[in-house]
Amino acid sequence: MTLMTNVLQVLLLILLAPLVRGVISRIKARIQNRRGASVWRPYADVLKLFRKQDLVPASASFVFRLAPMVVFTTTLVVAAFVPLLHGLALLGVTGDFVLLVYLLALGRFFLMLGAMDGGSSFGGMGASREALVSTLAEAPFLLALMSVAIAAHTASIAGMVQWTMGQNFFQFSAVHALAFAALVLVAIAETGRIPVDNPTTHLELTMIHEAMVLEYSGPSLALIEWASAIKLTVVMALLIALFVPWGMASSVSALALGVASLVMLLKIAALVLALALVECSVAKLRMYLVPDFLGVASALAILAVVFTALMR
Amino acid sequence: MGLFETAAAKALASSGVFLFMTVLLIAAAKRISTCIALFSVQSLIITAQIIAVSRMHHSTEGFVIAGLVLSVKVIAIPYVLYRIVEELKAPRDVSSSTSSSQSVFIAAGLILLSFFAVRPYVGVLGGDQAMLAAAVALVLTGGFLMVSRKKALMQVVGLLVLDNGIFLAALTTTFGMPLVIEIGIVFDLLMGVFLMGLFVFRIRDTFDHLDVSKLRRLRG
Amino acid sequence: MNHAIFKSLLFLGAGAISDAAHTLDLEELGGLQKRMPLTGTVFLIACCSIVGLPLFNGFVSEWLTFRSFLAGSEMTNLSAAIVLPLAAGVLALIGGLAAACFAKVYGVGFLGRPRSGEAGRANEASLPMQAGMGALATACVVIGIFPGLVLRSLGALTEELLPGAALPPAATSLTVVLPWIALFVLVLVGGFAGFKRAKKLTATWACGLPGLDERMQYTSTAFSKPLRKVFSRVYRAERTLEVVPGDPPYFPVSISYRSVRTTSFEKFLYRPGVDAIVTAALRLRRLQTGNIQIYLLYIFAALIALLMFMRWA
Repeated sequence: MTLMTNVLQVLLLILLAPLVRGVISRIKARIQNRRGASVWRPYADVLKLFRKQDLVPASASFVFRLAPMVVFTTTLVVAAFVPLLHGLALLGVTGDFVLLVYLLALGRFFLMLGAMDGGSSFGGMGASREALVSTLAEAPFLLALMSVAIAAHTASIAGMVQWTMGQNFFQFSAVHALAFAALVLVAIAETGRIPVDNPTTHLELTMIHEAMVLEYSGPSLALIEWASAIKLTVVMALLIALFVPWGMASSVSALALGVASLVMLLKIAALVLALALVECSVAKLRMYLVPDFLGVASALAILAVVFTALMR
Repeated sequence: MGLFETAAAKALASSGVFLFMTVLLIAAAKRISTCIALFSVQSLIITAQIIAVSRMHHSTEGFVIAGLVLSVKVIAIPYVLYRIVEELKAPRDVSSSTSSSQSVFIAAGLILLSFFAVRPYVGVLGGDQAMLAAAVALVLTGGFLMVSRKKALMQVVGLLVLDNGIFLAALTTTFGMPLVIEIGIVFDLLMGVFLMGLFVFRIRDTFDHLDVSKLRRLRG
Repeated sequence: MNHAIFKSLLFLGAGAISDAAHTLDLEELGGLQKRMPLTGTVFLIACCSIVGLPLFNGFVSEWLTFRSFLAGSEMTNLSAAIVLPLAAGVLALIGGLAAACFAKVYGVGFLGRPRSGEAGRANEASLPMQAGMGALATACVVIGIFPGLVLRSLGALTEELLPGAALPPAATSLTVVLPWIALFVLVLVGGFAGFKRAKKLTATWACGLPGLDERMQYTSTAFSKPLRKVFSRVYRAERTLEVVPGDPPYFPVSISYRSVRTTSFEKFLYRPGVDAIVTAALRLRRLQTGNIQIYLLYIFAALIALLMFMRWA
């Protein structure tokens, strides 16, 4: 039963990811006084792309076609780390946060290579910018997770979640507040959302992630798009699991899981709404202000780590 | 004690954390209006603390002070500052001499410094360590804001943050100053802000900018 | 030990490149993956290892380092408990920089199109070289997926040298989870690759204009430009941009851009050291007479000195 729930969690994350994306763009459209596309459009997009031909540049090698698969599979594995409905996950106990961060890095590394394999200047440009952002995002990402790990005395994601569930809801700890703030900033950079990167841009010169996938088409593009939707959802679920896990099922029964999924749905909806609001009210940062943005995240993460030691 | 009171007590115990967050956010903010809003939030947190403390000590004076702080620091002063920003039609950025990530690093350093600074006195003075550290940190970052921001208005905001720190220190160590002094301080601040607003307008009219770093004529 | 494996693999790969393309300048390489598939693949494996990506052996070392930093936070000494976790942040930053660096090396060197004629004519390395690199690459992947093989024997060794310094029990979780992840990735990637997809070779998108050539690719200098700019305090690049304006000023006759980078490390950290060593070496050269008996005398004198040191120390 536990195993089934764990598998169910991963499947939920993977299958609901495009919906999350569709809802975000729908809410954004409503805020901007547009009708907006249906929330099911990302599914239609992925299906359409899977039926299309895969166009490969003549100069590209096998890396070009390998990259989307690696990106997709690593994202799937990461999805198996995050508890969603109860305090456990498929790999949540054995896998720790270092593995999680570096699995994401593995996908990104291959995406960068795939982008450079196209042989155009845009791919290289996107890869170069992604290298900058990811280099600077990795340190605050690890440090913020580390501070929670130190506070919880465990490195496994599930362990941290269960520790937080045991804490009092109203006793806001400095560590959590700081680590949460740092992780939100990192998550925005990591998933390429607005102040850092604009996922809907059509202007090559302002792209980061989009410039990298410019050469991709058909099933490869479908894999990349789906993977980035999963990544967004997984990062949201990670934030919820680490910082507001209350409401997760403590026992594996149909009723508890039902309540837990309802609560989780509400939490994700709140995050989605917040993200849409932020994306509508903030302008994209200039490229060279991104380090400043991530510098703020680093400062918060460092402070979080120091606080864990001070608060003991 | 009901559920609500337990929750309130717990939240109060960790409200120092929220003060730290406002400090860091003010350091990171790039617009004057954001800083003003954050100052308002900060004062609101302090108001909540005053109410909680006076409830614990069953003092009616405390409620008066809370009402005073609420009306002046949370509503009146931010409103006046907003109006000044609107009327000035000057550029809205804080034009800091340090980048926002550097500012956050410095503010973080100041918070840690204040933690180490109050550590020996917690036992003597009583009160919560986080709260006392928050008070010192507010004073320090207020000073830092005044030093590093070039706009005259930001000096006012820095001063207000500093004053919040002093107020909080008094609250945590001696459960607030006598009512008369509190009233005096609060009105003093209000007048100060009005005066500073006037000065800001005069500076703008005379020099066509608000950049304090360019006001050097005074030196002999 | 992991370091030894992937570093030598990288050097072997570099050797194969210089052999085949007669240059090691990244700006003149490119597209080598197609010309030398095996060298390219093992070089990719080595890059992944050194960057510390999971499923390659570099990650195992990196993971152990992170876990020891985390363990360091449990120390009673306050400053150690603060500094050790922060060191993890530094390590993560270095890891990120390494990822950027090796994405550049592999991406510019092996992917895209050849940037010079030499690189376009490069041939695969000779068979013995291939065998050597292949063996090391296999070791990288095997250790990366089954770290338990090596960790257990290394753990026994440290146990012998430092009694009580056993392998942390947490390490076993890694040895359990990595093979599963590897299996999953392999099955899924294999599934996708096996799934026959209609594939069509096309030209790269060039904004609808014809004539995209290899000079329009991103160069390695351009790739690292953003990072150089962010860390400009460290690099202090000197840049000059010369534009010769044409008749309508919007179409300049020629633009030349050069950028000279001397890292401040080189200037302030290495230079004095290097200078000192060179002068010391020049002085020591007088010892080098070339006479074999004098050398024997040195050895003898060293032996005597060592004995005396052992006696009185």
